[in-house]
Amino acid sequence: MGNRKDIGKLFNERFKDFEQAPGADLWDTIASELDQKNDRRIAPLWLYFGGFLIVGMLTGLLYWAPWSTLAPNTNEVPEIVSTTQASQNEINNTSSSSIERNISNEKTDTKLTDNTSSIPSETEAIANQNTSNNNATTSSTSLTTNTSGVATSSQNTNANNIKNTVTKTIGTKNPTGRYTNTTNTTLNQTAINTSVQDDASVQDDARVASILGILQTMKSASQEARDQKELEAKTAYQAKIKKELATAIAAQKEDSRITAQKWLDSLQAIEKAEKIKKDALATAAPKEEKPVKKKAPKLPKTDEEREKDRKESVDYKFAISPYTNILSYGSLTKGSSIDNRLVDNPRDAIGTIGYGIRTDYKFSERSSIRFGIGLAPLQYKTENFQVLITNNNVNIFQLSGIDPQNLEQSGGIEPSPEALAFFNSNDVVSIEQDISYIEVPIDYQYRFLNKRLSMSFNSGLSLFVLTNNRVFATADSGESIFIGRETSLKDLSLALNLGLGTHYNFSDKWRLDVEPAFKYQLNPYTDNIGNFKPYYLGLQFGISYKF
Amino acid sequence: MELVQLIEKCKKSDRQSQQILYNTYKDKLFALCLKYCKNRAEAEDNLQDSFIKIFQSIKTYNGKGSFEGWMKRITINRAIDRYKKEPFIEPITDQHLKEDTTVDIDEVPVNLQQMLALIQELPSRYRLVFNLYELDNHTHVEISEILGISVGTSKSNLHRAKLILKEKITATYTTTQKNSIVNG
Repeated sequence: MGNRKDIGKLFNERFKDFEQAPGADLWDTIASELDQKNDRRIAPLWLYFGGFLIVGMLTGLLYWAPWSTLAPNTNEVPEIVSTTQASQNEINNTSSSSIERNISNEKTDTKLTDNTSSIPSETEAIANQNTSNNNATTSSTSLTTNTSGVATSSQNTNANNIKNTVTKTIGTKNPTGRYTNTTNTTLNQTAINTSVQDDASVQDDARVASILGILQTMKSASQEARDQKELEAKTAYQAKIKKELATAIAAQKEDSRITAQKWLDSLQAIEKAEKIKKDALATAAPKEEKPVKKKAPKLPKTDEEREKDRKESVDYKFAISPYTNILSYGSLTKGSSIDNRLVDNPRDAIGTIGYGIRTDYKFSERSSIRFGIGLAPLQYKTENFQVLITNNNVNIFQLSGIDPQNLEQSGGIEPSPEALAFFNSNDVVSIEQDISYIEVPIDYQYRFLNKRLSMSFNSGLSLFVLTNNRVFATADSGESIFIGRETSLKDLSLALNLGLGTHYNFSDKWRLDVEPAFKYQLNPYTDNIGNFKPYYLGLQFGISYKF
Repeated sequence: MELVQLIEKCKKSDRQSQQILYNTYKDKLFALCLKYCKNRAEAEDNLQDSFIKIFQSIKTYNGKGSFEGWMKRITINRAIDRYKKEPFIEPITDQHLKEDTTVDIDEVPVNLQQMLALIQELPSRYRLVFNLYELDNHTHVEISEILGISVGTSKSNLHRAKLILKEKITATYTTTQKNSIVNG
């Protein structure tokens, strides 16, 4: 016997300075992933920016769209009047402004003259402004000699005149914001005439201001011309749209007329077809019916035909329906029927196919009672179970929901040599449950649509008789081994049925049925260890023979 | 370049500095990954995830404590996240809980890769507990918090891990002895 040591300490000592190099290309992978993550961070910013641009462009487009300016420009007038009132206030305040006070009357008059010559359409307005300007000049004279109270009165009068002039101009010219600003400038300069003080040193500044004013007025004039052109273009566009609309309306009327004519033709065709049919019946020549049927256009069903469809749908007492059923098993909760320690394992249903036969007894036009019998094989898989073997004990046999006592070959907890070999070679397995029931359903059917294509709502109960209960462990390779049976499944249980049926009546005897159904098992377990609430979804396809 | 400067540059996402940092610590961290993972491929995946996490969260490293320890914690956490939720059903029997977990040193394989393979073959839960307790010196209380299990389960898992290792070491030793006798 040598030197004994705790296995943990032994490993600790051996792995103390353990180092090992990873693959040479790992850094490239990390670097590229870091690049991707950086790109991903930048992308949303660009998206936001792009989104902002698009929204901005759309807003601009909507704002400047021609159709929005075709409407009468009524909103702008009160805005401009308000601006004018603001200008009036400015006029009242002009006497306290040291800069405007220095601008001479002469320069203002020159500017107004230029303004008049450059904008012929505004002659009337500017003439009025000149008048008010002269009044202002007069008042300025009186201001030098009279009391301040008189001066204030004149200013107010002039301001009122100016306001009236501008309002008049607005009423006749469809002004823009820029035009109004120009007017305001003029008004300001007119108001300047109320100033009294002459200062020779400031005259140069006044000239500069005047030139700037002229330039601004010229700019306004060109803007006005552009606006005028734009307005003309808009008017032309409006006329074009109106014309196109008129054409479209006329075309629509023509279409309506054609449609009406088609309906008339159809009605005539119906009458003609019926007449031919009657003639054919009268002459007892059934062979001639076929070509007549072919020639007849597809028309809306007549009341008689509808009644015929309804009768084909409901004119029976019994129906026998063999069916096949695509099934999928599942749970309403997250639980596991095998063991509550497996609730986090990935689980999945395996699609299966069942079959059966059913009888309908129709006791009213819309209601039936249905009885049947069928086989419902169900499969359910719990994946990623990690196998652990300790002293030949395999942990899969210790799951609380599996009874290994039923293992014929092992006879107890100790698995068979085959099972042990299987689990020794497979660390991770899936647990597959195969469960089959003979199902005896009793349903009430309510048909809410009774036509050739009819629809129904079905509800009822099913008696489930357990016929198969086996659990397998399956490896990724597909190899599997029987490991036991579910311990708590009842031999007899009930299920609640809910379904929606679609039925196509080929004739008064045959019908195609497609019925998705939900079946919730009410009491499948003696002891629900893993809070498993089983249900199954079925999609039934059947053919019914009615008699 | 000093470590502090290197960390600062890595905080600014300087790719060259990141590569230097990677080259400096990759072998140590990969060894850690090999111990915590099932095989080399998963260990490389874990190392990759760990370095990406390290570079992403290096700005949060405040310079207090060992930087290498900080990186190791990230690496171990990545491995734990990888295997923590793996389904695991322990054997109910506790007949081996009192069994001796010591081995004769002479019977232990000398080859470190063989020992690593023994660890990797352990069921994931046992491997995590064994590594955390025996190789990285965590207490059972800490392990119970990290893995979300009870202290008793942690102790039991460690004991079972040691028994499995012992069983496999004994089996390997026996096979080796038999082979040497056969070969003369």
